[in-house]
Amino acid sequence: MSSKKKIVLAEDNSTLSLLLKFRLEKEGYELFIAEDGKKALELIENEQPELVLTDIMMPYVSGLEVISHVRNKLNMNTPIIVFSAAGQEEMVLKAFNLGASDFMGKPFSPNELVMRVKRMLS
Amino acid sequence: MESIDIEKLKFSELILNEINLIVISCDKNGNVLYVSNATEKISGYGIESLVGNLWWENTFFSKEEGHISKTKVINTLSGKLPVNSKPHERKLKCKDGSLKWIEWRDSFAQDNMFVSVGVEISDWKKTEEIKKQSDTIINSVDSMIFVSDRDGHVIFASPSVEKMLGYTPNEILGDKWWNITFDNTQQALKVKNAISNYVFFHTKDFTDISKRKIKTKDGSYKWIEWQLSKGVNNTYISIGTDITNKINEQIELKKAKETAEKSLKVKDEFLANMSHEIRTPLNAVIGFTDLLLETTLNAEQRAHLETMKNSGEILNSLISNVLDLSKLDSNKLEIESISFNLHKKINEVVKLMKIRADEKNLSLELFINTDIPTQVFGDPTRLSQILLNLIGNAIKFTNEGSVTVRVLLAEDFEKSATISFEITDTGIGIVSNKINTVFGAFNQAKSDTSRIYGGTGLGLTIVKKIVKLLKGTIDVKSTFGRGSVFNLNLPFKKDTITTSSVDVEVVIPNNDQLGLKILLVEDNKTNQILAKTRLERWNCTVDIANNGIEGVKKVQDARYDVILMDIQMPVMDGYEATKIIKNDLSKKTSLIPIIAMTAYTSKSDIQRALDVGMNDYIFKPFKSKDLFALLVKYSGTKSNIVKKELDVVEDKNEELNEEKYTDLSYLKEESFNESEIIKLLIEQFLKDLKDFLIVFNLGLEEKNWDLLHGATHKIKPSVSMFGISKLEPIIQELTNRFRHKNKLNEISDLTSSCVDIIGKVKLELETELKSMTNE
Repeated sequence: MSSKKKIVLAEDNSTLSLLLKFRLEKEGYELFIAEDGKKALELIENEQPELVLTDIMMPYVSGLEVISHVRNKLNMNTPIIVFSAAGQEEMVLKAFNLGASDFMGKPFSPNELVMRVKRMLS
Repeated sequence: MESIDIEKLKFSELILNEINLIVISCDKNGNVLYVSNATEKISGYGIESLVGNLWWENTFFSKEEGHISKTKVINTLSGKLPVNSKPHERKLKCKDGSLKWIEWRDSFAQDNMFVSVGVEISDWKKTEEIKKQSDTIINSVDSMIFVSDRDGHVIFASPSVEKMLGYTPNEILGDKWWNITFDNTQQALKVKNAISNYVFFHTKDFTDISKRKIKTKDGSYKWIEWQLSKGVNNTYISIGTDITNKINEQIELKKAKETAEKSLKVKDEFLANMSHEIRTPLNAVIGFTDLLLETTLNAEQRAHLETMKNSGEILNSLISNVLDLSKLDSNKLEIESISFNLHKKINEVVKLMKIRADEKNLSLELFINTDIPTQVFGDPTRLSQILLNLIGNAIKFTNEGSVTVRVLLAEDFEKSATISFEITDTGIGIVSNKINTVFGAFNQAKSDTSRIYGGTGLGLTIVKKIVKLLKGTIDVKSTFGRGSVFNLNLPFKKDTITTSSVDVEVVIPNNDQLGLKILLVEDNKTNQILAKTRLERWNCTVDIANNGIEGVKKVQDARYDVILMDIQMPVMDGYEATKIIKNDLSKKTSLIPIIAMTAYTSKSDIQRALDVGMNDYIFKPFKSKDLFALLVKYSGTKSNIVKKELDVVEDKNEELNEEKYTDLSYLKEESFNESEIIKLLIEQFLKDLKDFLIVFNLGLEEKNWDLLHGATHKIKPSVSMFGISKLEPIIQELTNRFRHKNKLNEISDLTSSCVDIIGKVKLELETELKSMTNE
């Protein structure tokens, strides 16, 4: 297991994605950052990651559409963790219905994310 | 020769008599010498009325016409006029006055004789006339007329098509009609089949063939109503009428209806708002009167103040009633079904009314039958409202004697029961012819009743409507001068699970010194003074915040035991402020009890207050006793003192940080203090802030709320990561307002402080970045 596991992170806030990238790469993962859902889909198709982390509210293509595309168009079973801000509870339900694997409410602690990612990819 | 001629003549006369031809001959003077037998038959005249000059007199439409014709014949015979050998039509006047169409052919015979032969063409003429007439009709009516064959090909189209749709008949003949008047060939086919099925097989499908939108030549659309009928030879006839105006009128009508409904809604909202607006100052009047009553007064002053308080309370209940009624009328009154102790509730109401009965020296008796279930599901609030009204009425209209409340079991089932409440008084009673009107709005039995007994005249109307909502019944029996009996039946579900508990009443200590530090978040100046005065009498220290944002700031600056929070406030409302205090600040602030002070009394409003983290609520206007009880409940006495000492240290730390807008401790911790990544993060954030400001200003300029919502939502996580606590609530509030497009005309304060803070944050971070690079 020498090659690094790939993770695609879709998040429109660049400081947050920067911080998360830093933290997850410290854990030995390879991170691909997308600032919108469209870019995320390209990365997922090209990189075939082991895990997808996506915010729900993003420009152009929302996190929900990312999930739907991954599950229905690309027919991939890659685990997907969605991030949602407070007040988007119904979105989370939709995300689960579309095939999301887990969700984290924003703001979350990077520690918790690291732990969840590790558990999901172990 | 002669005999042959005679034979010939006889023969031809025989033929002439047999065949149905009019034959006349006349001499050069115009005297008719011969008419055929058929002439007699057709005209109805005997031969004696046709010969000589009589022909010209009798068989023409008018004498003049006859004369002109005769002259013409004479002129022809004398050679002045050429003979008209072409067939011509002329009407023959018959003996019975009718006119018959005859086609005539004139010729010369031997011996300078004029012969005219006529054939009757009336029948043929008639069909021709009908055709002409129907042509005129088809050409002149406004409706379009089509004849189509079985396949829907248009065979005939009336000229009105051009008038109505702009197409010449030729443009739409055959299948062209279906191609040019429909946008969608699929739809055209569907309609075509539906028509064929309807006309030839009398079957109907779901396609509406009676009204259709038709594309006109200029590309616009017209609504056409069609009447379809079967024609001859496997054709069908469609008559189309332009109903575009009618449809437009219907749309207009619908719009007007919607506008009317909307204005009705506006009225309801207006009423609700007005009641709120009236209540606020009224609250102050009652409250200050209360405060004054607690001071040293002489007897006259006290009496006046008590009258004032009383009037205030009457006004208050009138407003509540009006509000209730408008809610009932707009079906907005919510009925709940919760488990409650029925016996206890009834006792409470009667206990409350007992005071009033005592004032009038009346006895108020309550009998609850032992078989009445104790714990039931229902709406205790509405039950009290009904009983308070009915018992209150009974007391009001009774001057001596008693008021009796009997609670009986009317129907008993396994899971439910109907309870009968009987309220009997010995009061003035109701005149029999007014008994049916007591439940109507603003109807008291006599119009002067209200002058003597007071009241709004709305109580029973509301009672009746609530009873109906609760699926119960109410009626009244009365003898004028003797008293009335109101009989109320209400269904309840039995609660067999909850065991009725005995509630412990909150004991209010005699010593009314609370000594709490209280933050009062309230925008109304009068209410501020009222509450502050009231609280200071209980030895509390009161800080005032004028809106949610000020409240949030004050909470960070000082330590409070309790926060009293108004809900409806400008800039930031109580819900939002509570959310921030409970979730986004320090742990110690999240523990401060928040009590909502609200004029909104609906269940959903209360639920919302509790959902955002408020600990309790009190309705405005509140009784000082109730507020006191709540404050006692949340004062938590001794434990505060220990905590307070600890907090002093914390507060000092915060003061040191106060000048700074950012707090990088979170980022440093999360990035394991690696200066490279921190630098990267700061650089990134500075870039993001720059972009944010561009989008933010653009969005505000263009009032593009969605753009603004996207921008604030996007920047939010960074704001909290960089610990910009002053900006966080503002960004949060802005995000919400942009998202829900709410209170957008009052955001200038928020946006300007947002830009302000960002400016300071940028300076701070740039300095930080420099010092890091220097290291």
